[in-house]
Amino acid sequence: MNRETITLMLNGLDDNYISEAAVFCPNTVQEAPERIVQMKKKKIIVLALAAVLVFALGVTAFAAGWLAPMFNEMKQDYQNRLSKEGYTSPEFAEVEDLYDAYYQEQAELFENAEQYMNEKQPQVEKVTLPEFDESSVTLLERYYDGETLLIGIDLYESVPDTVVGYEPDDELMDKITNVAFYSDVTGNDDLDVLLEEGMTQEIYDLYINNRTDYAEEYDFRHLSAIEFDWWLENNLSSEEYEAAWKTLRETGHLGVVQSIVYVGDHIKMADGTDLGPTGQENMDSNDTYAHSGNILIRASELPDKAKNLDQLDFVLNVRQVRVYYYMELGSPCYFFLEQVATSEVPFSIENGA
Amino acid sequence: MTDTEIIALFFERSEQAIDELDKSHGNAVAKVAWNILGNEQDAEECVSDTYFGTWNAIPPHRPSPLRTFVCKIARNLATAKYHSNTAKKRNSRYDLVLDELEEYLSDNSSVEKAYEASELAAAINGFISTLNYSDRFIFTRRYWYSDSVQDIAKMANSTANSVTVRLFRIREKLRLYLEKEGFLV
Repeated sequence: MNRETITLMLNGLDDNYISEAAVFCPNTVQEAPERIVQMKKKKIIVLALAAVLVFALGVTAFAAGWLAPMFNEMKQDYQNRLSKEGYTSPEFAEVEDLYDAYYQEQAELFENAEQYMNEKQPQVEKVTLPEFDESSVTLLERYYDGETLLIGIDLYESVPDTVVGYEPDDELMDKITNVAFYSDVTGNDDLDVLLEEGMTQEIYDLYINNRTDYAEEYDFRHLSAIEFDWWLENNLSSEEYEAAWKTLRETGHLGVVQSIVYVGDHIKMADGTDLGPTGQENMDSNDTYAHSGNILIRASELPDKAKNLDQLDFVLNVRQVRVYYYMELGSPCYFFLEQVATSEVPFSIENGA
Repeated sequence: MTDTEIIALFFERSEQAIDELDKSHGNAVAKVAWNILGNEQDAEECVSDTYFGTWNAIPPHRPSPLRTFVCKIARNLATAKYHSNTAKKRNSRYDLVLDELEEYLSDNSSVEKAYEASELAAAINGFISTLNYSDRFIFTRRYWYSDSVQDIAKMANSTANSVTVRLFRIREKLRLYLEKEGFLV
């Protein structure tokens, strides 16, 4: 099949798949568990203390200045992009030129939002979620100018800690060991078998040569096991990672339970009107996908019903998914994913324009 | 401005339609064009041609979502220009994308068979419907949007290694699917 034919084939891709891929936002329980929770525990502690101190002094969080810097960082990012700061490659800067109008618009939006919050100093709103074992979701930054909605949500408190060293019961073990870590690998994911079946040497070498020291020491050869070990190294602190490996060495197996709490990408008004496509950004990393933590949600294509109101009342759909991983030394890593809780959380924002 | 309002401007044949289209979806269109053509001049020309094409298509079309519609026009124009630039040195992400697929979809036939566009569309949509969400996302971002592996990894909250391996698997599956459907010998 030549390049022209391949192009013709790809051009025939259905609109639904093209639209679906605009933003990575899996929100069904069938999704593979590759959305990683950024557990910035140190930052959680610092913010929580600041909030306690602020409330004890009877001063709003905005006046204390610990919310405004987050918005300011976003605003500064857009201004840097406009000035092309940090671009070492001229080619990359040229591509960014194409987005200048967008960055200008976003910089102004964030400037207006920051000004609004500094002037009005709205109270931080914390809502307890009974469905989530009484943990809470907190509304931080917020801005509505009649055309765009910006909301900063803190989900850290609602995310249970990742449990390393979990021992699943028999029923759960049956569910977990049905699927390997990668959902399409239900057979033998031994790299040597895969190489015989047609895996390229390049991919094979990529796995073998990039194993962690522990995975190399124990000669991990299952693709899912190598991937799981990478995941542990990326998502646990170094102490937690060492503890995980200690458990694995001493017991011969390791179970991990990860909770993911996120805001569904469909935000609705009280009457059910969908506020349109939303983008979500992690305030800690500026990545644009739905996930836990401290996130900024942006709805910039509001329907007419939601525009130019004196006050916008809306409902967030908060969901908790639990992911179980299980691996024995010398074997593949398995996983199982289930939705455990969902909660509708209402908020109101006045028009700040 | 909402897509509905922009489309209304097109129906009114108001020139403001193009400005509003550019404000709302210009960045997405530009990115598609850039990823395929790899240079600013060609990409800008493609964006202009896309807006012209959209002006001619609406009315009578009332596309939803509008972004997908204009990105498709951009992609069709960009890929046509890409393939016509046979003498020019190519240096775009699309080159890499086609290299990846061409390697996997080469067959033993010495003669390139001509296919109807509808046959090929049915094939690619049939194949992608067999994938789970994450694989569909990675496949579409790599082979339709022509994003880099690094960009896809960031968007999908994964690592570049994982995305590379996943793409390998997906290409394997695509090859097997096309063989089964008779597109490859």
